[in-house]
Parts: sequence; structure tokens; C-alpha cells
Amino acid sequence: MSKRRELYENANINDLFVAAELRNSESEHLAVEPYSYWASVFKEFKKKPSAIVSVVLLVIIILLSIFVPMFSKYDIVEPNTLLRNIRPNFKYLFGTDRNGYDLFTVVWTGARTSLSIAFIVSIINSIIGIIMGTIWGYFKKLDLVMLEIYNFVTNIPSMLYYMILVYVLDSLEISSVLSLIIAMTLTGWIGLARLIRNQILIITNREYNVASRTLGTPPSRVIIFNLLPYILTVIITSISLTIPSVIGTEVSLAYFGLGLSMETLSLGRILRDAYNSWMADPHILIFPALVVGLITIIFYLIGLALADALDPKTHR
Amino acid sequence: MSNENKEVLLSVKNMHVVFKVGRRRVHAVNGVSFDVYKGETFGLVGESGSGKTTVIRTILGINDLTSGNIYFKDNLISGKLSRRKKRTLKKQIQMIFQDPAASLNERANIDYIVSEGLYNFKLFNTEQERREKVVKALTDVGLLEEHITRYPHEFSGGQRQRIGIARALVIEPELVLADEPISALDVSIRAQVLNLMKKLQRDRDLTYLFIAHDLSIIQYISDRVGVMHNGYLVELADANEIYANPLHPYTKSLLNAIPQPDPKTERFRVRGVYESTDIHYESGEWIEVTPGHFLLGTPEQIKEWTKK
Ligand SMILES: Nc1ncnc2c1ncn2[C@@H]1O[C@H](COP(=O)(O)OP(=O)(O)OP(=O)(O)O)[C@@H](O)[C@H]1O
Ligand SMILES: [Mg+2]
Repeated sequence: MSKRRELYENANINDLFVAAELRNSESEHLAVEPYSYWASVFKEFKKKPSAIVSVVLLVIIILLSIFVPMFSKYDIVEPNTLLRNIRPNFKYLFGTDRNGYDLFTVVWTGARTSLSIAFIVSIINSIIGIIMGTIWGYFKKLDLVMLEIYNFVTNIPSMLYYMILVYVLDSLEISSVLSLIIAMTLTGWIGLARLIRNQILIITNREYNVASRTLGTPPSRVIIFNLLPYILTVIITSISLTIPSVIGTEVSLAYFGLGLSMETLSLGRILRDAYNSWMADPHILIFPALVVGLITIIFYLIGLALADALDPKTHR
Repeated sequence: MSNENKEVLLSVKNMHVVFKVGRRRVHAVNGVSFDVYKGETFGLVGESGSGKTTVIRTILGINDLTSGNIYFKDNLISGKLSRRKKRTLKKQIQMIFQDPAASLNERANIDYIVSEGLYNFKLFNTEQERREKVVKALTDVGLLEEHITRYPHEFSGGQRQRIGIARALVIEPELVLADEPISALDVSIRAQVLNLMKKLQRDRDLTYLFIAHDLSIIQYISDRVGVMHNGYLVELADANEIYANPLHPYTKSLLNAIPQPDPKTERFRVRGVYESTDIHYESGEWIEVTPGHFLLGTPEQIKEWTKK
């Protein structure tokens, strides 16, 4: 024992660690510019050419959907048989359809309806999804009930579900646009809610959240400051993907003759009308299909770029 | 020094913690008892998986206590507590985490991170007062006022750990539980953070419960040391006593595992392999062999170990 005692009495902290003085405040200065989260998000987003192009295209698409129907109203009552199925030219950029309407006007009028529905449905689903998802993830007692509801809803084939719902809602005296929106938002939020619940379950046991619990931070502040900022990426990506999926659903429903009424021009209805005659006049199908495709790709690319830019790990 | 006339701040009595993992039961803490005196640093040492973190988390109420009692200032703090009592406790007992990268909210700035406890316990009257407290907490740990608007990922590991210390100390707790606070740090700044913790302890009369799996760190910072193995506390004594006169075979093997700075003694160091299967902890008793020096073992084992 005496040998060890000698050893420990002679031992010195400097043998165990590399000595370092508590440095004077000079060395504590951070060399870099002060950091701002949103400025960095913007900077990171701007770096991607695909994101810039997508945003520019999106702005153009939105402007066309707003202004083309405003300035070039077409007469829906009286088709002009002389002007049927004209190929694209300088007067009719997209050509004319089988009723003799200017397809350029028709497509952007339909895009206006489809985009409006898509934005409204996405906003409603995101708000409900975020609220329900955070509550679901944070309060463990709700988990079983919510999982049952989730399983029930997701086990019904979505097309069948929409068909039944649109059919039922049609019998009520509401506009077809409203009934479509109701059909898509009644349970449409549950996917995002589940996603957020999973994310929250993963991160609530991370050490920074344990730290907040030891500090006695109330749930509301933990949700707002600790949880939501971390799942912002997931939320934004999910929103940017819902928009094209809502448009896609409307197109599919229209194919089955469901969804919007005949007077309401939408991308879905235009495409459905085109299926009958696209062999002879491909431009009738090509232009609306291109717009649908473009919208889908644009939102997908913007979603990807945002997901990266919103992640602080990519900042500098 | 005598421990009798010291004030007991925290008292853990016969703590058992059992986790249910599927059908399996993990007995992570097995009848651990110890007292922490006001103003001291109590070191808890043991290898990975010995249950040290579980002890701390159970004291904080993050893990459920399976059986046993925990007292803080003679008040029972385990079991069902009123909301108000829980709140007061949170203000009095704070924690410093092992990994400074994981324990700070990356999406919040330093101002918010350090203020979190101030908001929770409404420890300020005006916005200006809150800011002053945050700045004071930062400068106390050697950081600067200008850091207030920065985000955790802009700092080095040592700076982040000091932010973690500032956050815990700004609400002026009495007991600080530190779970291997320097093990994730670069070797060159470990001493700096340890020295800072020591200085803050002196200035504020803090009590530390300090965890490490390395006896050399515990030796430097602790007044008393408890040695844990497989969920059992096997030996407890003054830090000097543990080093000069270790009795339990496991403690001895831990001491032998420390590399010696002197090449001569390092060459003769016995790197003993400890066979835990030789000792059945469950049949042992917690016995005070000399004042303040406790051992876990059967009377025969203790007789053998204390033989000179
Ligand atoms: N929440 C949990 N659920 C199930 N088992 C757990 C849980 N937390 C800890 N354990 C188990 O309890 C035992 C003790 O773990 P603990 O984290 O307390 O050890 P430790 O001494 O802190 O180790 P380390 O030095 O690696 O941090 C381990 O076997 C671990 O797997
Ligand atoms: Mg641990």
C-alpha cells in the first residue's frame, strides 16, 4: 500500500491533463459574423440553381393563372365550331380545343382553380396536422386512440374514400369546390400528424429536451421552442409535396367523372376532356399535362431545396 | 475531518431502479445508499453501464424509482410530489450534461438557452434585469456579452459546456448533478472546465454530485468517492482514503487501471483483470469498516479485505 500512497501524493493534476489557463476574454471572441437563422436559410436556398429556376417558374405560373383568366375571358356558352382543334400558332399559343376555345386561356383558367384548391387544402391540412401531430406526440395517453384512428383511415383505399365522400357531399347543397376541399381535409391531415408524432417521439428524449425538463420548462414552451423548430424541415417539405398531390387527386377524381362540376374548369377536367381526342390532336393533352407536370416538379424541387436550407447544419 | 457535524443535503436510501425492456428486467441500480454533504463534491465512479447516470436521473425524477427513498434537506423527494414541490426542487437541483453538443437546443440562441430557467421560475422583474442576469451568467463562465445572440453550433465544445454550466447556475441551484461533464471535451480544455467548476463551487457554496468513469478525474475534484459496479455501490470513503487505502477488489482494479505518469512505476503497474463473477454482491451487506469508509460484502469477505 505504501507504494501507492507515495504515488498518489506525488501525482499532480498537470500529469493528467494538458495544462490550460482559463484564457482571457480575447480568445473567446468568435471570428465569424453574427449568425441569423433566416438569413442563412435564404443564403443557402439561393445557392441552388434548381431552386431559383423553380421559384421563377412558380411565380410565372401563379401570375399566368391570375391574369390570363382575368384578361382573356372566353365565352363558355357559345362554342365556335370554326375554330376547333387548331394546332398551336402565334395567335393561339396552345392551339384550340374541340369546342374551339383558346387552350391557353382554358389551361390557365383551370390551373387557377386547381392551384387555389391545392393551396387551401394544403394550408388546412398543415395547420390541423401540425396541431394534432404535436399533441399526439407529446401527450402519450392519446397515442393508442390516435393510432387506431390513423389505422382506420389509412386502411381505406384513398380513391374509394374520396369517391364515397364526394358522392355523399354532392347530395348536400354546397358547391363542388367546397365539397372537394372538405373531402380532402376531413382526414387529409392525418399523414402529416403521424409524421410529426414520430419525429417528436424521436426527439423528446434527446438530451436538450431532458435539459428543458430538468429546468422545469412548461409543455407549451417545449413544443414551440424545442420541438417545432426541429421538425420545421419535415413540415415544409411535406407541405410542398401536398400541393402537387392535391392537384393529382383532383385529376384522378375527374378521370372517374367525380369531383368538380362541369361548369368548373380545372386541370383535371381539361385532361379528362382531352383523353377522348388526344390521338388526333395531341396538343389538347400535351399542354395541360405539361402544366400539371411542371407544377409537380417545381414544388418537389422547392421542397428539397428548402429542406436543405432550413437545416442549420448546412449553414456555413 | 469528521462527517458527523456536516449538514446532509441529499440522502439516497436503498435506491433500486428496475427497467422493463420488453419482457426482460434490467436491475440498473441495486440498493444504493449514500449521503451528499452540503458544500462538498461527491464523486460517483464506475465503468460504463454501472448505473451512474440512472442514479442521477432518478434523483431528478426523470427515471422512476422502483423502491427506496430520496431526501433533499430532510424532505422526502421521491414518490408522488405536488406540482409546487416539484417546481421548487427543480430550482434547487440542476444538472450539467455529458455531451454539450446534444444538450443545447441548436435552434435557440444563447440568450434563450440561458434564460430558460429564468423564465420558468420568473426570476426577473424587467426585461433589462433578465438580460443582466444572462450576461452575468455568461461572464461568470468566461464567455462574453456579445455571445448572447449566437447559436450553439458557433461555439467550440468547451465553450458549449460552459454555456451548459451557465444555464444550470443562472437560477442559483444548491445541488448540481454533473454527469461526466468533461468526458466529451477535448483533453486540452478538460482542466479548464474542471477548474471553472471548482471556482464556481467556492464562490457560490455549491454542492456537486459528480460522475466519472475515470478515477483520475474524480481524484482531482472530489471530497468523497463512491465506487459503483453493476448497479451496486461497492465502496465509499473520503477521496484520500480511497486512493491510499482501497479495500474492495473492484476499487483496486480501477486504481490499477490508471496509467502512471512516472515511467518506472508505470512499468510495474499491475493491470489486474477484475472477475466480478467471484463476488456475489447480492449477499453482501453495507458495512462501515472505519469511520466514513463503507464496504459492500459478507462479513467473511470484509474480514479478508481489511486484513493488513
Ligand atoms: N431507460 C432505460 N431503459 C432500459 N435500460 C436502461 C435505461 N437506462 C439505462 N438502462 C440500463 O441500465 C444500466 C445502467 O445504465 P447507466 O446509463 O446508468 O450506466 P452508466 O454508469 O451511466 O454508464 P456510462 O458510463 O456508459 O454512462 C445499463 O445496463 C443500461 O443499459
Ligand atoms: Mg452515464
